Amino acid sequence: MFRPIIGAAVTVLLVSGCSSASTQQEGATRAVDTFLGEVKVPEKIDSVVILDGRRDQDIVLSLGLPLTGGPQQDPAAGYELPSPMAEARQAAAPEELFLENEVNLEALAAAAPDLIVCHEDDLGEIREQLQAIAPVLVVAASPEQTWQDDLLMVGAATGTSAKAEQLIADYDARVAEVKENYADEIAATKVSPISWSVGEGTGVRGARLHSRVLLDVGAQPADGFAKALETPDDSVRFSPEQTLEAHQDADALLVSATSAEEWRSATEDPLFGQLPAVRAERVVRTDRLTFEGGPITAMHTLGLVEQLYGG
Amino acid sequence: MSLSGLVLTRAPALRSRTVSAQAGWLAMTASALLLAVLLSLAVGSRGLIPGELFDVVRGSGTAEARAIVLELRLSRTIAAVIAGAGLAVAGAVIQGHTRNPLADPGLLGVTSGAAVAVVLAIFLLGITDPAGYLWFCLLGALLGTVLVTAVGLAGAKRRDASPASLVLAGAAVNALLGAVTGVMLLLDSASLDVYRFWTVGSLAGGPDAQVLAVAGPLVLAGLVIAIAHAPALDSLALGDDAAKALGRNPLRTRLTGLAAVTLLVGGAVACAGSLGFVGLVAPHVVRRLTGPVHRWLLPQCALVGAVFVLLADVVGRLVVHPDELPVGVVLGIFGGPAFVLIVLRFRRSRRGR
Repeated sequence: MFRPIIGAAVTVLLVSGCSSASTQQEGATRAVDTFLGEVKVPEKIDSVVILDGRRDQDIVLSLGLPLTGGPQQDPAAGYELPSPMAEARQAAAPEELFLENEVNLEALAAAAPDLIVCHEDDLGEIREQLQAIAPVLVVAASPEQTWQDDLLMVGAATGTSAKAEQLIADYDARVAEVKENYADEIAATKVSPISWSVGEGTGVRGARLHSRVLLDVGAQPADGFAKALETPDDSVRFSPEQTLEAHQDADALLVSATSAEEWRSATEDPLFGQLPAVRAERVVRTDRLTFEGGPITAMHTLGLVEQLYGG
Repeated sequence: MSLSGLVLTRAPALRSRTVSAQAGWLAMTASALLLAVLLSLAVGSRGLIPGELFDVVRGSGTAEARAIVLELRLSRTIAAVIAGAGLAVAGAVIQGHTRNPLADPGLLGVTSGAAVAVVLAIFLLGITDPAGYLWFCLLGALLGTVLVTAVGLAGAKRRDASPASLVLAGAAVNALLGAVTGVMLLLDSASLDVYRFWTVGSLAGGPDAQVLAVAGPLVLAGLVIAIAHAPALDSLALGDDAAKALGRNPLRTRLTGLAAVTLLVGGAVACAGSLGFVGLVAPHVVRRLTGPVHRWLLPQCALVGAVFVLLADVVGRLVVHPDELPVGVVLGIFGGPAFVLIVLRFRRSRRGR
């Protein structure tokens, strides 16, 4: 709502912000083709700022780039489970420049980063203002763009391609290991990654990272999951009354419930309690932090998938 | 001829329906309510055949059908009845007190007081559970009414004791409380998320049994006070001077009415949030059946208001399947045009005088 106002106000601040950035841009740069066209990134990067805190943060931290600023996780979201990136983020200790989903361009300009990495959702109407502050790399630019694609793109732009390839190889190796260790369970178990919302029922999205990880290990999709994969936007929703009908064929469920209230609502729901997967105690809880991410979150999700099959 | 007989002679509309006709209408709307309740239990995004519903009513049926009917649909059905009855009766009472056919329960600051208190509970204490902010809602409703009454009485001392003072006080206090709510919502987006569902009015998920256990008796108490207060409302309809001549104390009568409205609206909004148009439209529909005599009007309003909210909720469950349209939105869609019709009819009837 405040973006246009902040955007207008920040142009004044950008004068000082740009002077340091332009000095750096006069040095050696790497050019990469991205969603925004050709982007020239300084070879020497001392500070990277992210805007979203999911895939952008995961990739920056995984590649060991100097993360100096980003959003503050919204305390009102009620995250109860520890973030997969908590340890890496604590080590990087980035400055909290604004609240999650409320990009503050003034704070961003004042941080004078060498590079901005952001999610496509955050680009909105502030694309030009961001580009005036620093070169911008956009991740998740399209639904088809995987975290591996983005990792390679950011790797190429920052001179960390070798590290990016290694991270992808590590993930693939871990996937192969899970496939081998749980081959029988994977073949015999129908699974669904569902999200639970208080009073709104359940949903499944095939494009979410945890869905992709399940597909990577060769999971057998339950009906709800299969339906989601068949729809044009990879998603399907079920009302509270449809909970049992929609997921009763699932032998195991990866349930996303972010806050304690959401989880309590799920566990106290009479239809959720009747689900065969719940009765068989084959439910692993996760939260919305595994909807989106990069190598760290994908590896963390593989751990959840192992729990799902390993009991 | 007694004074009350004289008054009834001067106001033929007040005795225009026979007792048997009124009882007939009452039986008819009670039947409509029963049908709406059955519809609310039978219809939803998970289709149940009548046999399944019948089994559940008989105490058998599958575990899934029992959970859907008894744990999801029954609580929202009860909440719809409580909210609809409370708001419609409150609307009739406030229209009677202010002698303003376009008045609605929000006029007395009950809804805006409840809204401020709910947002404060979310903003300052982080309470997001409806059962958690129930008492804030009720306390806010009470304080909102007290504030409007105090300002209205102060205005009446300086100006006159007409209901216009109360209406003006209500408008001013509502604007003030609305501004306070707006500031808090701007400062905290999380409050806004919870508040927008509350302010639109929704029965999705079925309100907590704890909320119904508190709101139900409050609305019932408000209903009893309102019906006991019906003869006084009939007197007020003739004007304050006539009411005084009939032995009524206008101030005491207004305070009793305010107490009834606070209980009715406080209980109703605790159940279903801030539902619009029920309190405004239902009394007008009912007046066409019963005429203006409040001892018939008020019970009929309770039944018709409940039917309105139940039907709106059923429609909301079906139109954007598998999601739901909040009942407040459905009421707005149908209530808006109905409100326009009421205004046009009101203008036409005034021109005809």
